[in-house]
Amino acid sequence: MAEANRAAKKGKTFSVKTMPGFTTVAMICFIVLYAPIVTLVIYSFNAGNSIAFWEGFSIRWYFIALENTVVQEAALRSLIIATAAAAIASTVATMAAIATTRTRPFRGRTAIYLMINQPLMVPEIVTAVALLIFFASIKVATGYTGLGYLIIAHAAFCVPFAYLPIRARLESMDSTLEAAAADLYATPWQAFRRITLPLLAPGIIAGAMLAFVISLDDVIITEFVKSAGQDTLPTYMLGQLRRAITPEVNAISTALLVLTLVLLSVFFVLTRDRRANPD
Amino acid sequence: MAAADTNTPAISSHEARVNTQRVRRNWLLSLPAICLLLIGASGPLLIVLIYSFLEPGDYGGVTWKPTLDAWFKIFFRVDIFDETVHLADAHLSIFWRSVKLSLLTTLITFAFGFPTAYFIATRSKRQRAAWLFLITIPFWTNLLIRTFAIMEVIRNEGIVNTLAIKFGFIDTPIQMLYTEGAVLLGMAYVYLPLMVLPLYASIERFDFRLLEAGYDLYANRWQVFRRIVLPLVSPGIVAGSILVFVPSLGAYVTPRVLGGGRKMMIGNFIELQFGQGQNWPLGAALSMLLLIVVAVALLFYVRAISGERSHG
Amino acid sequence: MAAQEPAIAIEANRVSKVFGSGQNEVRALDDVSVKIRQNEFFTLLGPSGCGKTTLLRMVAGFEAPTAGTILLDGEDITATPPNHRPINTVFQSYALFPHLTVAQNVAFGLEMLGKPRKEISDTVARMLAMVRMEQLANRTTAQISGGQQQRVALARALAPRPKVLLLDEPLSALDLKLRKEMQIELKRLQTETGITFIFVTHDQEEALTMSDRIAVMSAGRILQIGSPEDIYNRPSGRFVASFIGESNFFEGTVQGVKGDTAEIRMPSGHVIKARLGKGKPEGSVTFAVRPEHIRLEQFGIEGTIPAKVTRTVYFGTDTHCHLELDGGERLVARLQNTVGGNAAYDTGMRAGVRFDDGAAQVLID
Repeated sequence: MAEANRAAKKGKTFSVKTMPGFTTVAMICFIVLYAPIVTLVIYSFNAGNSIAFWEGFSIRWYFIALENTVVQEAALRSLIIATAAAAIASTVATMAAIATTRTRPFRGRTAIYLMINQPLMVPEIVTAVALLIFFASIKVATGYTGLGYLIIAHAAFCVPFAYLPIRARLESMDSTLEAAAADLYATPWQAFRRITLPLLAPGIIAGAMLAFVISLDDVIITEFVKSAGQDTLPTYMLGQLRRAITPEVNAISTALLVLTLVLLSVFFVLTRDRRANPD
Repeated sequence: MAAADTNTPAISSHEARVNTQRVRRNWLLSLPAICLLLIGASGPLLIVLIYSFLEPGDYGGVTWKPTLDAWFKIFFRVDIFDETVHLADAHLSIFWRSVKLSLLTTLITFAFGFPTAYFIATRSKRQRAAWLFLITIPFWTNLLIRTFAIMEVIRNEGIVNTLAIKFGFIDTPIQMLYTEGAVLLGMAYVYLPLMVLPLYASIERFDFRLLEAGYDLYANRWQVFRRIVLPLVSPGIVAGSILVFVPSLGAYVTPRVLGGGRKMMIGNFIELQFGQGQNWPLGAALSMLLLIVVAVALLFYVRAISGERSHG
Repeated sequence: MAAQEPAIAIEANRVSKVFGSGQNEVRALDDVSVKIRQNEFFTLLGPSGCGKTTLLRMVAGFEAPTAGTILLDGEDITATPPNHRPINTVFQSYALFPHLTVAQNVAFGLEMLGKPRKEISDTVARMLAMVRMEQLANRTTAQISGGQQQRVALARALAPRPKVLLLDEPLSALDLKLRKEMQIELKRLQTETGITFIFVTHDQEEALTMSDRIAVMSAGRILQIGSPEDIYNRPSGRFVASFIGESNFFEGTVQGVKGDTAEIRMPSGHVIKARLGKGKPEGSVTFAVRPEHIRLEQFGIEGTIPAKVTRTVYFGTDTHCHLELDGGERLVARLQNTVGGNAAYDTGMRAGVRFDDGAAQVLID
């Protein structure tokens, strides 16, 4: 048998876990996953106007993007919305996590779970349509067309992302700590303020970062909810794609990528399971 | 206020009071999140449902007259001249494309994602974290940017065509962008991590000692894979497939960027009703239809997840 | 087949296994050679990390030797993958397939061998009857107890009728009572099927009660191979003597050798007779005496070694009497308890110690 011959090399242990071809496919996957992104980043440094022909290294597109007032405004808007949404989402998610974790099951807990995770379940386009209809009528009724709509929408779909790391952190916390605090005469509020909150902080920060990243990346809901002239960076880019593309879009993408990467790295450091890294 | 569920009949009044307080506290703490989600996510879905039973307004919006017209129009059209009822071919072809591309996306991501997840799960503990991180980075990276990256690679002036012409494989660029193939490629690319992660979770829990038992009992590699690995990680396969299928079905950005206006999927078709189409009730009905399909898929997902737990 | 030289089922020929390299190098097996006969119940006995499981996994095909060969019925199978070896394993974790029923687990090997359906169902029924599991054939493996899982693992490994059955500490997960039952059951199955069993354990009692022959292993080497009586009564070295059962060790000087008996002078001046193993020792030697081979007599009786009782510990069936010889050596004697108990010796009393004939064994270390 071919298989027997292949293993016939002396001293070569029969590898139980190996499946033929799997490593090759995995390597292809990793290459395919990164090749387009790397190409995109490389061409953001193209001196020429094209994203196909390489005309030498330059960072001029970054300056062009920076000096573009539309991009400036969109970037600022993105940051404002993401910051506000992350702050709101992580605050309400923290409260909800405290209510739903480390407590005996109570009537309605499943309903709260479902509610919190609802944005993960409903297709984004459906939520986008729903918010378009809902906010359109409010806009008509109140006349208010500010960033508030976008912030509420973003905060809402960020809640489950903020909730998950906070809940994970709470679940891994020793539940006797509050009891110990209470035993040492702390009121429930003091126990929360002095014990729970400091221990929970890394989870909250991690949750806020995830929420920030998610808000920063959003296209669909923003595209539907935004009023005229309220482009964020992603919707600005989506609009640009219809025109002739210059490496400016690559430059903006690269900047966003770097920001995401930094936030994610911090997130992983914060949520790293210390038991998994004994040294 | 609802008292806590309990089967113990002789519950002391003090204990009951503490329970009630606890439940009230939990609800109060959850209230801000609930309100936010009611306004910013769940509540408006109800309005969509209502809109799907109304008549379209002249320039978008609705007229408050109840009708099943929108739901009817999803599948049928009435001939303007002889008023005969026909299947709405244009709509059906969009649905068909959505389902077809979503299934194909699921298949492709599985074909590539399974070996990848298996590869990661069979690394040493230290290496695993690094490989997983490599999968998670694209997962959290802006979907638009990733789609855009694919677009740059496959457009006529993109790197693939440029290189192919340079090396003389072809004379004129191959039109890849704005085809179904491009949409498929893009969706497989952006949703691959969604397949790999649950598969990894499942394979990582797999007891590899069972493989030794399989080989010991005369199974070859294929039989070990087919008869032992696949059945035992099937909950992960179901989970991954649904996690890819659901967003594929509702995809909007990828078909818009890579399919252009031509290769529409349900998501784009819904948007069209709120834009140029000016038919909000039809858009609302389509949204509800999509929601129903997704809900059914998610029910399977929940069952797969609980199946996973009972295996462990 | 003529039966003057028993046929060999498995032979390990100068096998070594090195894991890792450089500073992390671990020599799991160090030039091990052993011949395991057909139809015998052979046990690899040793503490954890002695290399017994590595040797077993080599026979199964899951480890390749760094040097040396493995032979099955005289044929070199060193490079044969496990699924091409007519050898089956009962794994320590049982490794039952959780998605299959009891019957499907037992049928698995037969299916992989492409046996006809009728034969498979017949064999499965027979195997399940043999391990008395026919009633639970359609249960999943999660629905049966540990002892039952053990039986299924056995039936599954025996169903393809392998030439050799490997058992990797299969009883370690069971409680004491079940373990005793399974010991008898395993021995019965081995006799009934006539298949060569290679059994790995760190439990000396398991090894002694079931085996035809035992190989005692330590630090990657085989120290002694022999029948349970051989191993127990004639341990070759200090490790074997202390790992299997308990032993008292004494130093002494050889005064003379007569046949396979040596006269040894103890530090106290008393001379005792001790059996010799291989070789002719000279000068100072160590010898071992089992606690149950020591008799206590009244102080001062001719031929006894004077001693003092330092402590007695009651063990139900017997009493352990800790003694100190006048020469300073300490030892333990195990005295069978009678109806009246063993009140004769109490802490602080003087007594005379006598070794049974042939109780003392010279060690070769």
